[in-house]
Amino acid sequence: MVGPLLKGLRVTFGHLFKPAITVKYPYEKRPVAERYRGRHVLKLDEDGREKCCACGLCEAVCPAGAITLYGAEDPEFKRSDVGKIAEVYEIDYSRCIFCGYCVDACPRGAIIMTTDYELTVPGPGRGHLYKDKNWLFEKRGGE
Amino acid sequence: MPKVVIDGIEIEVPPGTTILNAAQRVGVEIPVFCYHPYLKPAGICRMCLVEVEGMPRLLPACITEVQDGWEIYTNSDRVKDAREWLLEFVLVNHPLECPICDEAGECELQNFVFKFGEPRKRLYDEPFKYPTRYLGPLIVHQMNRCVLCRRCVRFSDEAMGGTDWGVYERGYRTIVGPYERDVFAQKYTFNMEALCPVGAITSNIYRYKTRIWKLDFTNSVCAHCEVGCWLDLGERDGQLLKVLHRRGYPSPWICDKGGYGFEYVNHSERITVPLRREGNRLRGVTTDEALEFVAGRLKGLVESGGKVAALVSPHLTCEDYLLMGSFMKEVVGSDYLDYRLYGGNTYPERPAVDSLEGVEKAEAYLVVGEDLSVHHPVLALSVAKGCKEGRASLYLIVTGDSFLFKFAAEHANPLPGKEEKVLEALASVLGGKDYASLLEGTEVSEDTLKAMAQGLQEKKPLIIGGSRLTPEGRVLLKGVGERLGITPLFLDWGSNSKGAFQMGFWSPGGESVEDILNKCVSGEIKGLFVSSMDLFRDYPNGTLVKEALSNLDFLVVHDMFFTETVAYSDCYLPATSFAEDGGTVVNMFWEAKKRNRAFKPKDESMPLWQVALGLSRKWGRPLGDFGTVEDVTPLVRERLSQVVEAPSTLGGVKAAHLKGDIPALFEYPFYRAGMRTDFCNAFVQLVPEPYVTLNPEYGDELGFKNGDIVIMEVDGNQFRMKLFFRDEVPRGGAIVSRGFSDFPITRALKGLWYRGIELRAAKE
Ligand code: SF4
Ligand code: SF4
Ligand code: FES
Repeated sequence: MVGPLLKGLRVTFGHLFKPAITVKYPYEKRPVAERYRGRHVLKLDEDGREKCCACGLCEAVCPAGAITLYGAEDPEFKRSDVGKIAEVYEIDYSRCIFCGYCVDACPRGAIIMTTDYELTVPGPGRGHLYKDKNWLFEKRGGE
Repeated sequence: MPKVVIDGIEIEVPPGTTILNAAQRVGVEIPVFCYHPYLKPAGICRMCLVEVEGMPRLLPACITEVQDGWEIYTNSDRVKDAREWLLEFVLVNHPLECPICDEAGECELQNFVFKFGEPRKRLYDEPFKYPTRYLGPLIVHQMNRCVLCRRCVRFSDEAMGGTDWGVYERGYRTIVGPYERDVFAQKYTFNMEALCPVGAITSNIYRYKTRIWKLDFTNSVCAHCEVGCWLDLGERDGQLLKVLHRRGYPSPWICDKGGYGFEYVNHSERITVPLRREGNRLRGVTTDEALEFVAGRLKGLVESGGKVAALVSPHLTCEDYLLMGSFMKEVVGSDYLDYRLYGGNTYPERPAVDSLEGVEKAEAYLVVGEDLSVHHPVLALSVAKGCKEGRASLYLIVTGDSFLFKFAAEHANPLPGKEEKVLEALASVLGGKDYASLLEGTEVSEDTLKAMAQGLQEKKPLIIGGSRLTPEGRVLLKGVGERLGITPLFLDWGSNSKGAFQMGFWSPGGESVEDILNKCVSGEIKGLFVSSMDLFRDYPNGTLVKEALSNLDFLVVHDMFFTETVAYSDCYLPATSFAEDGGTVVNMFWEAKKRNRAFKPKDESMPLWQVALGLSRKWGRPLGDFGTVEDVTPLVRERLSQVVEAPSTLGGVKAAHLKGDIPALFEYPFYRAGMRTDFCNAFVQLVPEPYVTLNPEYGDELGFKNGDIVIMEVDGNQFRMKLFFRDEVPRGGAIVSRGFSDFPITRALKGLWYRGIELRAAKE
């Protein structure tokens, strides 16, 4: 009767003297792997023009249907070197499963995934998980 | 009959069949670029090479006729190699820009490279770089992508009778496109875009918007004219973004109104909530409140002895007419309803032919009283087909025809308002009576008429009576028909006039729209319901419309936009577009076709049948229990099989007011005809404002120059507009454009399309 109890307590007390696995998030962060798949970032080229040409392959390949994309023409080639830009580019992070297919599909390397995984904000609702193009262009996190 | 073996499958085909057609019969795929089932085979691209046992060379399948005993291989190593090489050659100069090309996903080059090509490129040379040509608001031409199949050029030559779209330069440097035009909008441009197997010709309206695989296509029927072409509406997120035409029936071609005239559906100015007048403003209300308000006011008017009328656009569905008609007749007890808002005064009649194929079979045509290419564009192509091939001859009695005249054997181009005089003269010639006096002042020569009469007697013609004809004109044309032993085919305005007529949406007393408006002025009619049409734009008497509308106690307008008619209204109900609700429409051959709903109505928009149903409920006498439009369709089908007798309209037409210097015809330009075209941005860009056209010689005589700004004066009203010279305008007359909701040109008219006008140069 006492035997099993002691056995259990041994495990408990044993852990007291081992180093802790948990960290004090958000004050402390764990390092992430180099190829971690976190939030997306839309890239700009050297001239500061958008790389995305709205070909829609990411949208087509996305298994969760998280991407919404509408294109537009940029006749003066100011915002794109091919004259076509994404007018609407939205990722619904409440659906995104971070599979990275979109990054694979992109023929121009316009979308990448970063190591940034902090997408939540305090408060109710999930509306803030619907991210638009401006947000995706922001340089944040691991970019 | 020759027997051949294709890839081991034996088949017997009629003599003259090409290898390609034989292969299609047994379901063997042969890739093609230049071949198209509705164009003449040309054998240009060599994509279709196949091997025939015993032949030293590969043969092009699309132009080689099979011969008895041939053994054909479409998949041998030689054929495969040939295909790979051909595709590789095409790709030498083809830019690899599929990610930005709108054709990607439906591109034949893409498909063939996937299926038959090799993923390699051995010749790295700088590809040609031609500039992108923006040919106006409809199409963009990118020569870089062209595979030189010449489908577009052949369409332009074979179906349109030649435009300046052609092939220039030779060999390696060949380029395709318009020679000098900067804006290419030729009524049938859509087909060239659709025919192009690659993305060399793409739509400017759909340019880069979304990818083709994101669109859901729904089969529907065009709402612009009576031909009733099938369309496939491509929708995404409640927006209509692209239209395709994927059936070869009733015609393999459609016109630009059908292909590009859908922008109003997603227009940003669309009002999708009901509005109710409060003093000087219209306030948004709920549908329930609006219907309650309308039903209450109408009921009040009827109880106090006033009359109520309904004027409804001829572009809606039979379901709409049926329920609205029942509401007006049974619930409101009104005798005044009409759909002929373009101002015509005739009712539809049963046709003499039953399909476009029937039209194409005729040996001769007599067309009177309408520029077919404007109001029945695809019918014009069918008429042109036989004439182009030399099988048929065409006789025209049309003022200012802008397309068919190219094909006409004889073209009488009478002064505006004189078409029926010439028709009368023709009848007299055929009857052996004296006709010279009838031709006076029509600008048509006796020789033309004689030649026409002779031609008509030699071959059995198909007689087409256009929508401009008055009831008297129709009687004359029927007389001509009787002499030649033929029943004419009469055309009407609007895409569903026949349906509206068959559903009984007309006044039993035979009143015309003009009578109804006059009754509004006199105060007999106190309430008016207008649906889906701006009276100020389409009814040819702006003054009368204004008087009538300001005199009403209560005006309800059911529409999509804030038109001038809505400005007079006491209540506005939002309407749906043709894509947002299904229904039955009846085409020019009295064939009932089913329109399908492509997406949900926007916000509070309602089709007319729902409005009628809602009003009847609020009135306290519900019309029935209908949930969707399909519930109404059986009633419509039943009605369609009944015979409907029209009241006589003879004697109701006043003579044209042709005082003033120059007799003028007020006619829609092509890109303004049809339903709500003034809310299609591309069309507005093409025809931004009204203009006058004169014959160049006559214009010179009057001392004007092409492109001048002139003042047109009618009854003291002055209109400032541009003047253009066009060859098709008869000498001594003028053609003025109409169909502008933001330009009050209908004020110049008195119920007919003709009016005498005065022109003078505008002072700077
Ligand atoms: S533009 Fe298109 S249809 Fe015309 S020749 Fe080139 S590839 Fe063919
Ligand atoms: S407007 Fe008439 S001819 Fe043109 S596509 Fe529509 S139905 Fe066909
Ligand atoms: S399809 Fe036969 S040569 Fe072009």
